[in-house]
Order: sequence, then structure tokens, then C-alpha cells
Amino acid sequence: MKTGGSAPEGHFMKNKILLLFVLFFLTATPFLPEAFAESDTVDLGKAVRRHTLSNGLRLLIAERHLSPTVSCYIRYKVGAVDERGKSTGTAHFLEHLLFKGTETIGTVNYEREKPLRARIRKLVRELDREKKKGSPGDEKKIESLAAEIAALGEEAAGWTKPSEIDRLYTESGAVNLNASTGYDLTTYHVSLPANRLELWARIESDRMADAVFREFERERMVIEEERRQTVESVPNRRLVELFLGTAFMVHPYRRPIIGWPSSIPFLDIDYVERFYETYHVPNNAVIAVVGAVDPGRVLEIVERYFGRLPAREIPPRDIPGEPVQRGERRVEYRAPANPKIILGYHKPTLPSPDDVAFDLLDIVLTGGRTARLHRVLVEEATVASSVQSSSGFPGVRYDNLFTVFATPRSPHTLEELEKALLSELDRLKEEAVPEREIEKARNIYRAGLLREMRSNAGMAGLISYFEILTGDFRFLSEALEQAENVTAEDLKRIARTCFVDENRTVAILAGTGES
Amino acid sequence: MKKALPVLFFLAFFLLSCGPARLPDPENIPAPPLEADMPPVEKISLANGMTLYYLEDRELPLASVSLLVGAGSALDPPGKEGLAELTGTLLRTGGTKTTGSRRVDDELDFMAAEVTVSVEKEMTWIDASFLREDLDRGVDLLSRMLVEPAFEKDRVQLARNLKIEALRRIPDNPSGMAFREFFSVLYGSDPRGRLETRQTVEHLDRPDVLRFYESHYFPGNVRVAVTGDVTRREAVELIGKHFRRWNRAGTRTSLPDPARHTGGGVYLLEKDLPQSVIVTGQIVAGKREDDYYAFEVLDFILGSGGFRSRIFSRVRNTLGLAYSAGSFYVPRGGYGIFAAYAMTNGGATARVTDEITGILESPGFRSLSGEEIAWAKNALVNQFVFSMASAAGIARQWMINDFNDLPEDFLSRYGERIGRVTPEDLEQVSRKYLGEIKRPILVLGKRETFDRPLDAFGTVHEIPATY
Repeated sequence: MKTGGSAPEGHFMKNKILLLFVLFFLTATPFLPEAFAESDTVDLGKAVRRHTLSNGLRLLIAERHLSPTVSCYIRYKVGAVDERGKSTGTAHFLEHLLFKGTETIGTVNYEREKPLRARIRKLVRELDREKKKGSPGDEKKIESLAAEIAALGEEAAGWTKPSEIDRLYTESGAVNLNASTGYDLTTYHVSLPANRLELWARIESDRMADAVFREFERERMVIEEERRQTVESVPNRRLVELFLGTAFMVHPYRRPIIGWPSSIPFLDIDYVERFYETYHVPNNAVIAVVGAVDPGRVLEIVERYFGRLPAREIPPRDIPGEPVQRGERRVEYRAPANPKIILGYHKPTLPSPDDVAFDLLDIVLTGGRTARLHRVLVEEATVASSVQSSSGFPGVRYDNLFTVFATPRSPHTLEELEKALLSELDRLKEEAVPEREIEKARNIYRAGLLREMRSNAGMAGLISYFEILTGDFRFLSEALEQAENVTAEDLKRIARTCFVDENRTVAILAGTGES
Repeated sequence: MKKALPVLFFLAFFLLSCGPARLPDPENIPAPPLEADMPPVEKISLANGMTLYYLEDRELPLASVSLLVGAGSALDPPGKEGLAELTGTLLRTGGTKTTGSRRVDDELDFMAAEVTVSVEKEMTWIDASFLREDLDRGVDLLSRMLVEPAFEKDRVQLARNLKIEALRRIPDNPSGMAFREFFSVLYGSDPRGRLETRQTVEHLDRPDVLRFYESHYFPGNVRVAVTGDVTRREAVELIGKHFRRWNRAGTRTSLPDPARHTGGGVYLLEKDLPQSVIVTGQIVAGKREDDYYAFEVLDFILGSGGFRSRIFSRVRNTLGLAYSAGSFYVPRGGYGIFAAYAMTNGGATARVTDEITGILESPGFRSLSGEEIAWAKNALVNQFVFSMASAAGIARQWMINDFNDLPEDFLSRYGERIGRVTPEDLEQVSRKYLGEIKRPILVLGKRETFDRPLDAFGTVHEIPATY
């Protein structure tokens, strides 16, 4: 944590990442250096500045004038992995609740509303306790508690302006207002007309510290519906859940972010509050502001609104490590759906020097039509209708999985598909990947990052992501450098250590046909 | 948690030092004036009949080339549903007469190009993104795909089989399946309502593809946009150089707008799921009609305006009965599609259908304070700057506007036209399109879990899923 003001630290390095892009593309650019060099000084020079506020909040600013808009990302280094085991879904629940307003937004008179909310909270606690006793529960008591909660809810609603955060944003022209909860991070983002930055700071600094968890009892129902919609009704999502629960025995990557069906109806608001107070603090957050803004003014606004929030000590994370896997694990899910397969192999995460090599391997296997698994399995052997892979699933704060997702093409079977997949992975252990194929993967890797920067939101997302995960957004340029140095030997070596039988988890959706 | 004391201390400190009173009222945060002039797209007519749209954006060393072709799936001959899509896919994957498919794929992947094809009801898009230095070779390949496609036999077979597999998997995505069937019900006997199935795709062959290509792919039916890190001169030279030889004449197939009265009724798609998908809607005004502006505002208020919009607010926030609920409006030139939807647990199916129907049928705009209308109009006007968020996006809107025969000042007058919408206009369009016309309702779910039978909403037709 930094102290003593907010001197810009990014002064010397600020151009490095974009400079790197320039370098790469200039060297790869035989015939147009003038045009590009010109545009570089005009546009690419608007690079990222970093400031750290005295409360530890890190701020990244990039000025660019594609359009009179600005994208703002706030990322907290907290996610589903940080929940206690019996309260799966807490981080995600909190993210929902942060749209319910604050002490000054969403209320007509907070002094009148507050005692009602406190009583509802107490009654919900009682109701949960009663329901958990199980059948046969005291139905009468449950009913009367529910009725009392509903009546108080009606009364509290009289003091409430619902969805005020959303209303303030949409009315001022904001788009893509949303939030996401991952295993590792929680993110709140919005894009606004460039003249509305102060409104953003007003709302976001307020909900960083002073959120009011209105209507939390109903929001648990909404999340039950969310789970029904996005998991229970989608066989593929059920399969992923089973896959993770099998590949990880101990590490919280084994739990679903949305929460298990048994925990969602009982998500505990007192625990949510402690979770919020512990992790939604300035020294656990990164803000990225990208767009048609004056960096000096951004800094002034962020200082004014967020600088007042105190830093808090964040307790050491207590995440159990995953023991080394010593044998293949298989899990089968039977459902009236079409077949699918997922293969996963444990691997180290960043900043391991091999992390980028895995990224390139991922591209070699599935990045484009000429990638190996597409060409061999989809086009030549025709055993698959689609194949995807990920070099860091399901998160990146902790060691994760190299994962392959594939769907067989009827009448080919899952067995045939699995065999074909394994034989392609085995080939990587024996034959060196030709240099041209690695070069192609590097090109796709670089271009992917570049394309991500086309929009303000893409760029804000990218720089805030690397800043919060690695402590420095310039890791991005390091990764690009590393990609240049990955060799065929590296790829063979990581394939040999990673793609071994005892390190593998296989999850199969053994379809019982069409429903 | 473990450190309860410091947390409490900080909390107390926090409340004392910066109570909410110190924050300004969010209603009165100053918003400095915004300079928002949409950069003009240049339109250049080419000798072979194509129209080129150009807009510069030199920040990143990337350029986009997008082609809009009047060759949508509504032009599929009856019984050959899926043909427009298969043709579009094969332009990308089927190789060219001078460069085989594998070579095309190899080259595009090596230069990290992205070329995607999307086939809609009325048009086909071919969108490419190239690194600056690959632009010439990229456009060269793109032109070969369009001008001299080979439709290689094994690629035809592959594309057809992959499409059949994708169709087989439609039931694995229930909400996708529900919307697909709903649009088919809504369009009725209009060609836009015909769905491709495994049976229709199975019989499509190379001669069909060739015939479709020859009927609909010719320069006079193509608009091309070049945007990004490229000068006007380069763009004109590039497109001229590679597409000049494409001289085939052709006749555009005109597609009448669909009929608006589709009738009521409940369409039930039985599927064993814990949740029902409910969709209802109507064919409404298009962008060429005056009602378009009022309908934009109406749709925002009803269900597309986020948390505050009526369907979302009622079904999700007040009742807690859905995660996704709302509406959308897809306006085209001469008509538009409006639909409202929710996904809710089986036991709340009739309840939620009732709620949505009630909201659509009695919006009561006259009795409202101006607040809700002001919110929607401000939102639509203020978010307009996002339509100019990228050069490629701006050029795209110009192409769509021309495709739909809209006036030149359609985009620049949008804000002013929205601003003029009155409560009376809203009342009028809501009555005209929603109040007085029967709307079909589609429900996908497990009937035995429903809270009530659905016949209260109209005659129930059990329909099979078509895929």
C-alpha cells in the first residue's frame, strides 16, 4: 500500500505497452511505416497513466478520442474463491445487492427506512432458521414470518426509490452498465457520455463504502431463477459444474460461482456484509478510466470522491491448495441432451514463465480454422462438430486447468472423439511444433490483444485485469515479450509435463438422446 | 472477520469522517457540455455498381472491411431453407477458383485476420478485420471469395453436416429454441417465418448453392465499408483494384414487408425443464414510419430500459420471479419486431404471463407524471453518442440506413425526433400496436408444473419444435 499522495508513477513506463505494440507492428510492417509512425505520435501516444491514491486505490487513465464517451471499470480482487465453504454464491449475491442503492441513493428518507430494513433482516434470519430445521417444519411459524416480512417490505418500499443507480445511469445515457463475479475478481463497469464522469464517481464511491442491501430476501429468489435459467436448463453448464467439482477436490475452484442450489435460498446477509466490508475497500481495488477525458480532471474527481474512503487491512487469504492429482478422474452426467466432453489438466498460473507458452499452445490447438484440433477433428476426421480450449480455466489467481471442450458430430461417438483428442495432445509431446505454426500463434496472440483495445471498454477491461491480477498492467507487455521467446522446445516440454494420464480429468455428457 | 476490532474502528471512523451528507445530490452533478459530432462517412460509387463507405480511424494499426449483401435467409426457396446461410458459410470456407480453401485458411490465420459471415433474414454480412500491413492481401482474398468462389465439394459436405449437427443441438439451449419458434409463429406465412431444419439442410447441394450465389451475389447488391487505419485514397484503390473485375449484372429480389396481423393464441412447446420461457410480441412500425420514434420510447419504458423498465421492475424486482425479463424492439425499414419475455419457474408461468400481458395492454401513459417518459427520452437521446463509438460501427449504420431506404439525415435527426415524442404519441402507438391487436404467446416448459392452464390467454396450440 502506498502512502503520501498520489504522484503519477507511470511517467516513464506509461508508453511502454503501446510502444511495444508499435515495435511489433513496425517490424512486421514492410511498406507503411510513415502512416503508422504518424498515427502513433497522434493517437498511440495517449498511453496509460497510473496513480495510487493514499488509501491504496490504484487508478489507470488512458485518454483517447475515438468518440465523446468514457468507459469505467472497477475491479476488486475478490471472488467466489474467497467465500467460506458453506456460503457458496456470496460474492455473486453481493454483486447483485450493490445495485440496490446506498444510504443516499434509492431512498426517500433513509432515517425512516433504516429501522424497517433492520427488522426485516432480523425476521429473515428467524425464517431461515425455521426453514432449515427441515420437514416437518413449523409451517405456521414460517407462514406468519413470511407474511410479516412481506408487510414490512411493503412499508419499506414506501421509503424506497427502486433501481435508482440504474435509473441515474441510464437517464444520463450510460450503456453496458453491468457487473460480473468470477472466481478471482468482481467487476463493475459502465460506459458513459464523456461528460458524466463525475456522476460515475459519485455513485461508485458511494457504493464502495455505503451500500444498502435492500430487498435482499427477494434477490435470493432472483438468483434461484438465474440458476434455473443459466445452469439447470442448460446441460452444458451442468457438465462444467461437475467437471470442476471433479478436477478440484479441495481448492474452491470446485464450487459454482452462482452457488449450490442448497445454499442460494439461505445466503446469509450478515456474512455478505462482512464480506463486503472486508474486500470492497479501496486498497483492494483497481479503477480504469478510458476515453475522451482529461487525465488531470479524472485524477481530481477520483481523488475527491474515492480519496475520502479509508484503507482497511485485508486479512490474509485462506485458500486451501489443491493436492497434486495422481490418477485420471472421470465423471459422467446423464441427461436428455446431446453428448459433449471436457478434458482438463492441472497447470501453473501466471506469473509462471510457462503461462504464456500455454496461451500459445491453446492457439496452436484451437485458435482458428487451421488450428490442429479444428483441422484434424472437425475437417479431416469429422469426429467433432466443434472444439474449444482454454489455457486458464476457471480462474487465474491460482493454479488452474488447461481445458478442452468438444462436441462429437453424430454418428461419431464420444469414445472416438476422446481418442482423437488424446492422440493430438500426444503428438505435441513427440513432434516439435513447426516454427511457422508458432509464429502464426504469436501473430494471433498479439492481434487478439490489439483488437481488445479497439473499444474503450475493451482497453479498460484489459489494463484493469492485468493490474489487479499481477499488480502491474504492464505485465501485458511482458507477456507479449515472452510470447516472442517461446520455442518449440518449450511447447514440447509443457505438453510432456501437463498432458499426462494421471493429471487428467474427463467429464462426459452422455446424452440419452434428444428430449 | 478475524479482525473485528479494526474493522469496527474503521467503520466508526468512516461514518464520522465522511457521512453521506458530504456527497452532492446525484441529481445535480454538473455535466459539462458534450461535443458530439458524428464524423461523416464518405460514400463512393464504384464503376461496377458497388457502393464504398469510408471512414478513417488511425489509432490502432487495424482496418475493417465489411460487406453487406442483400442475400438473407428470407430469400431461401421454399423447401430449401438454410440455403442462404450455407452459401454465406461457403463463401468463407469453400475456397476460390484460384486459391484453394486450405490455402485461404492458412493465409488468413497466419496474418491473424478475422473473417466472419452472418446471415440474417434480409441480408448477409461478411466482416473482416486485418492488421494494417495485411490489408492488401486480405482484400485480395476477400474479393476472390466473393467474385470467384469455388464451393469445393468436400467443403459443401462439411458445412452441411456441421449445420445439421448445430440444428440437432438446438434443444440444448431452451431460450434460443423458444425465440426461434416464436419468430416463426410471428411471421406466419411470410418467407421470414420459414425455419431451416435437418431435413431441408440435408438436401441442399452444390448446385443449389451455386444458383443462390448467382441470383443474389452481384456488385449492384453489395455495399462495402472500409474503415480504420487506411487513407481514403488507399481504400478506393484497394477496393477498385480487387473488385473491378466483378462486373456481373443482376436483379435485386424485392422482399415485401411482412403482414402485421398475426393473430393471438398460445403456442406451447412441451419440454421437461425447471423453468418456462415466455415470449409474446407483435410486428410493429419500422424506421420509415413516424411511429418509430414513439415506439422506441415505448419499448424502453416497457422492458428494454433496464431495471426501471416496467416488465423488469415488476417481474424481477417486485416479484422476484425472474432473472431475465424485459422487451426488445428490432426496427427494420418497413416494419419492426417487438417482443416481451421472461424466464420463470414452472409454477409461476401463468402468473408471469398475466403480469406481462397486463403491462403491455394497459400502459396508461396519459395518467403518468412526465417523469417516466422524461427518463426514457433522456436515456435514448443521451446514449446516442455510443452509436459513434467506432468507425466500423458508424459505417455500418450508414450501410443499414441505405439498405432500408432511409433519408440521409436519419441519424442526425434521431435525438430531435425522440425529443418530440409526447405522452399522446405513446398512448396512440401502444393502443395501435399492443392494445388492439391480438398477440401470439409462446411458452416453452413443462405443462404439468404450471400454476394454471394457459387457455385463459387464448386457444392453446401444442407445437412440435422444428429443427
